[in-house]
Amino acid sequence: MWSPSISLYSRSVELTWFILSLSKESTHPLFLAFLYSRKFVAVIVLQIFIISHAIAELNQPEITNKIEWTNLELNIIKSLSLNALKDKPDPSNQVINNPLAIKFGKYLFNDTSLSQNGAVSCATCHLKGKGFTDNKLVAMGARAGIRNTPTLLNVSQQNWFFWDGKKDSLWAQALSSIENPAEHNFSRTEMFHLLTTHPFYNKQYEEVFGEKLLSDELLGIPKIAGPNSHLDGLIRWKKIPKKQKKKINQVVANASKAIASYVSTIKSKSTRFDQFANEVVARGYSSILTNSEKKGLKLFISQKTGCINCHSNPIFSNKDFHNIGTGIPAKDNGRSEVIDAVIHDPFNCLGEFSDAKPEQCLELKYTKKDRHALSGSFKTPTLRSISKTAPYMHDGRYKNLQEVLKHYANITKNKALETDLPIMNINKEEQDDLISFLLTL
Amino acid sequence: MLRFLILFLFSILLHVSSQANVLSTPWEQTENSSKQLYKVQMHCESPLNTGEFQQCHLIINALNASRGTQSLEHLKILIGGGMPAHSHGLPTEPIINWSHASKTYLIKGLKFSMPGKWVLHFYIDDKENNIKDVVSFNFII
Repeated sequence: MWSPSISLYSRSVELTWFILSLSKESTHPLFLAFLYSRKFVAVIVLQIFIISHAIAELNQPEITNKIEWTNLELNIIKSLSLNALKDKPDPSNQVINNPLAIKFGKYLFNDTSLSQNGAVSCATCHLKGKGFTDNKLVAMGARAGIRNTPTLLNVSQQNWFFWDGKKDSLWAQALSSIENPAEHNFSRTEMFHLLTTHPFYNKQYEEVFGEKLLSDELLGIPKIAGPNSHLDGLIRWKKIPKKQKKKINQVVANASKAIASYVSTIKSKSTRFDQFANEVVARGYSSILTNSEKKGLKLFISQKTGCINCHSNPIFSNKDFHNIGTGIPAKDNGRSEVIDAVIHDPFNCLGEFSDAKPEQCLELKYTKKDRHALSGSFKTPTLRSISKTAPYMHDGRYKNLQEVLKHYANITKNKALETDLPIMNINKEEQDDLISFLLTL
Repeated sequence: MLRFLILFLFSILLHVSSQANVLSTPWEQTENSSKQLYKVQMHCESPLNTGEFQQCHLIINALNASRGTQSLEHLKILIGGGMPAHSHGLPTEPIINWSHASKTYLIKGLKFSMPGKWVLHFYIDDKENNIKDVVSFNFII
């Protein structure tokens, strides 16, 4: 950015004094001649320009230690701002933007009736005040799970859901959590019973999906049964006639779509980083972030750390799966363990309960299926509101960001060959700067 | 005043069209196969980027003059590649098929997950002539 020199300031001041001294005697012939000349206008414009620049420069607290940004860096910063976030459609859910579905979904999201012990709702683990996480090592629903609760902020931007991406839509994810014995532990027929017999939900369902759920259809359907239920529940599920099973599946899929519609409205608000990004892109500089935060940002978007390679876009996630050395073979090895289930899931994008056309299911159709290549891979998590979402990693193994940074800083040559990570040489001060920056998100 | 207005509007039009031009500029790269049997042009509708499915196709010509007139629509082509610096492959499993409409090999499902150096290998299998060859493209996104 252009910056006026000291001598230019001095000349500017001298010129101003000269004009002012002439103007004291307004009848001075030299002043009158000058006043009506074009040069006068030019001088005044030049004075305003120089003085405004001087004021702007003096207003910067870091004039002696200014951090410069290249055009490439500014473009990257722009791409990370919430202003660059576009709505992502979900063709598999036709009620995604339906206000009635959003309202219905919000009730379901917060209702502990959707659990076998009557104590677990979606909001039990996804707490608004905690960045829609629970700050626990692993989720605690009906019992302790195996994975850390991911945030729901901007979750509708993702292509895959859960840490291993075992679901390809938000509604299929919601249904999976409801049925999971470690989460809601609510069987498929229990959900069907609830939606049919609960007067409020029955009415809500009819308003959104245009179909009344009749209690007659409950005849012969066991109270607790489902493909993900315990053994007795599974046996009972298998005995239900195919036509009735299809009806139950359609109803629970629809209710899950309503939950997904509500969850899709959970979005990040503008942060200090966003305000900085908007200002620095417009003006070339900004003092909204501190020097340490800016240095952290510079490192974050540089190839010295390569953070930006995976934590890209306004949600700070490339939505893809990577092996960063956190998988545990034979215990929890991420994407490679679920890929077959993803392909054959009846609730996936190509399934009969999806509203999408087959040609809209590109992510599923072309997803990588090589289990060897996917070994140890987990989805890149968003970094938005990271100050509220501790502990970190898929199993919550790191209680703070210092431990996370230590993980990346300690990648050895051998570890780099085994994982997707390069060797990262960042000292303690740089790690602190990176953390300072992350806390602005 | 009118002259100024016309000049102003013209400059805006010029700016907008130049921006649109940048966005729609196709991406192209041409390489010879490792056995020097094929000249392969990879053509994408827009500059390669991350996070989106790429609209690309291959134009394959025989380098050997005696085979130059042969139709090359019978080839079976498989794709591989990834980011050597990060020891990982492609994030998706693209499929390549001959398109009668465009007379090219369409690449469907190609996606890149990260900026940086990428390599794509196209394994060409000519069963009719019992020829196998490979062509590689190195580029930076």
